[in-house]
Order: sequence, then C-alpha cells, then structure tokens
Amino acid sequence: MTLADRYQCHTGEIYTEALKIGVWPYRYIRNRDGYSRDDQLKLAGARAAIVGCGGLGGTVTLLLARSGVGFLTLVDYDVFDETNLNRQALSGMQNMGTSKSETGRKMTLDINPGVRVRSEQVKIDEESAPDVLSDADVIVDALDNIPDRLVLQRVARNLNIPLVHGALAGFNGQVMTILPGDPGLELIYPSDAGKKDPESPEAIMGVPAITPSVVASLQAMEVVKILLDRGQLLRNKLIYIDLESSRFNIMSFPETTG
Amino acid sequence: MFSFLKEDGENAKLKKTNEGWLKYLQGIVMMAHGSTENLLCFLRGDRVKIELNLYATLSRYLPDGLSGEEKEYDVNRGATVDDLLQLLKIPVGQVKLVFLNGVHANRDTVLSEGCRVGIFPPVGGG
Repeated sequence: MTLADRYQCHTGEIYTEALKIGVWPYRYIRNRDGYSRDDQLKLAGARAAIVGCGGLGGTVTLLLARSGVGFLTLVDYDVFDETNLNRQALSGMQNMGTSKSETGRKMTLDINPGVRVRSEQVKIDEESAPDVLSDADVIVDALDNIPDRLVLQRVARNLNIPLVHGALAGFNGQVMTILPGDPGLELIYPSDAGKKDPESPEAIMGVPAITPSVVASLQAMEVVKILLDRGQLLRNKLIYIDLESSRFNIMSFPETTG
Repeated sequence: MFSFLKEDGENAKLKKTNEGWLKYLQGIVMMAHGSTENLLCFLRGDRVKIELNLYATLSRYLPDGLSGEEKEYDVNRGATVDDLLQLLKIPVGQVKLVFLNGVHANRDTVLSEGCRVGIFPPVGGG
C-alpha cells in the first residue's frame, strides 16, 4: 500500500508535502542540485499545457513528467498511425489507432504518478482554448503546421500565457519563447502560409527522429526556466539549429527591444 | 569588357548563352540589380565580400561553386538584402528570416564587408 493509498490523496500531494518538510522523493534525488528543493517544489505546483502530442509534444511530455512538473494538460485530437513511429516518442506498436493525448496521459502516469495529467482530444481554437488552456502557467507549441501555430499564439496571447514555440524540417529546427505582448511567430512565418503546403521545407525534407527530440528538449528547458524564473530565456531570440552542418545560431530581433 | 567579364564567375554563365550584346547588357544590368549606381559599382569592381549561409530548402539557391563550407560571396557595394535575394533568385515569399551577424535584418538593410548573412525558410513541422 502506498502513502497515497493510505491517506487517500494524490501521489503528487505526497511529493509536495515531503518536499515542504525537506524530504526529497527518491525519484527526484538525481535532480539535486540541478534543481533546489524550492525549485522542485515549484515544479510540483506548476501547470504546463502541451498542444500537439506528436514528434515534439511526446518528448516534451516525457521530459516534463520526469522533471516533476505537477500538472500537465496534453492536447491532441489525432490518433497514432504507422508514419508516426519514425519519431514520435509516445507512439509504439501497441498504440496504433489510439488517441495521442490519452496515450500520453497513460505513459506520463506510468513514469510519474505524482503528475496530475489531463488529456484533451480537441482542436485548439478561440472557442475551445479557454476551457482547455486557461489554467496553464505555460503553453508549449508542439504542433505540426503553421496555420494552427498562428491560432495557438493568438489564443495564448488572449489568455496572457507564455508560449514556447518549436518547429522543424529535416535536420533543421527552431525554438523561441514568446511572452504575452511580445511579437512572435509573425516575425517568422508569412501570414498566408497554407496548411498542407507541398513546397514547405518539412514536406520536402521530411521529419526524421533526431531533430524533434533535440527541439523538444530545448522547448522543455524553456518551460522549466519559465516555471522556475531561472536562467536566460530565448525571448525575442530565435535559436536555429542545423544538425547536419553543426550550425547553431541564436538570433535576435531588434524590433522587439524598443 | 570581355576580359573583365571572364574574370567573374557569375558572368561566365552569361557568356555561354552567347545571345549577343543585348543579352550581355541585360545581364550586366541584372547583375547590378537595376540602379545606375549599382551598375557603375559592378563595372568598377567595387564589391564587398559576405559570408553566405542558406538553410534547409534554401540551400538549393546556393550559387555555383559554393557549398556548406565555401561561403564567401561577392556583392556590389551598397547592395541590400533584397538585392541579394533577387540575385540568388530566392522567391521572396518563401523568406521572412534574414539575419546579418545574428541580428534580424530588413529587406533594405545594406550588406557590409565581411558580414555573416543567414537566410532561413519558415519551417513548421513537428
């Protein structure tokens, strides 16, 4: 019988209470001293919403679950198919045809029952966003096309919630953190981008496994920095990585500093 | 004028077309991208060297002879980002992200000697 069973409460609450009195849950022992006890406690009370549970979102979910982010909302209306197996961390032979977000919820609980995780099989738009996302401290843009990303940015702004953007094509990827009020994706994307553009870089160069896991890891780090108010964010900056040529660029937008 | 043209890698291509003087003149005007000032710059050989980095799908617009490692490229002194995009025949609709020395540049920003130019297509996959 676990402590959570004995006291009829959530494992997450046990972890929180333990951290409060200076007791580290054993599962977080190797987080020391990357995270202080205060940091770990903050993470336990923090809420992240991951929109898209595919190549980027799957890895972000697993990293945040292991890190000990206490509340995760996983949003994806799609189901897994065979073409996802090359890269999507939550996909496997056992879950073909099942919901990506629900699979993510189960895998999260398997990794860390201290996380309170909600799965939402819904497409994010102005109508659905408030119900699904409004309690989040940070939203992760882990979508796979430009128009949906622009919608997500709009709703994140309306809800006044920071957004961590990540995207890729081939062995190239990019990450940017957009706080409410910052100019963001409009600096990067043409406003008339089509959803299934056969000429898009990702349509031409594909989406192989390594790039999304790197981009997702950078996104997860941005989330942690936002939640802990630590380090330097990629705010008003874009990191652009070209893994094949080993070119890593951090670029700034002077129009955002005025 | 011929000997001058022969020295320039870009013009060697024009010469092969062998369609007469008019074509040459058109070519030179195009290379000088429009303005008289640019044309004079070009004829004087008044050029600046830049480091050209084209990313992802844009690498197909790399000029002949350039690769991921060979990045040095000549443009007329005074040429802008827009001039460079035209020169490389990169469809402007495909590009929003141009950085000079790591700072986001406008279309009318002038390229300077030795500057590192990065041009990126909008990637959206996940």
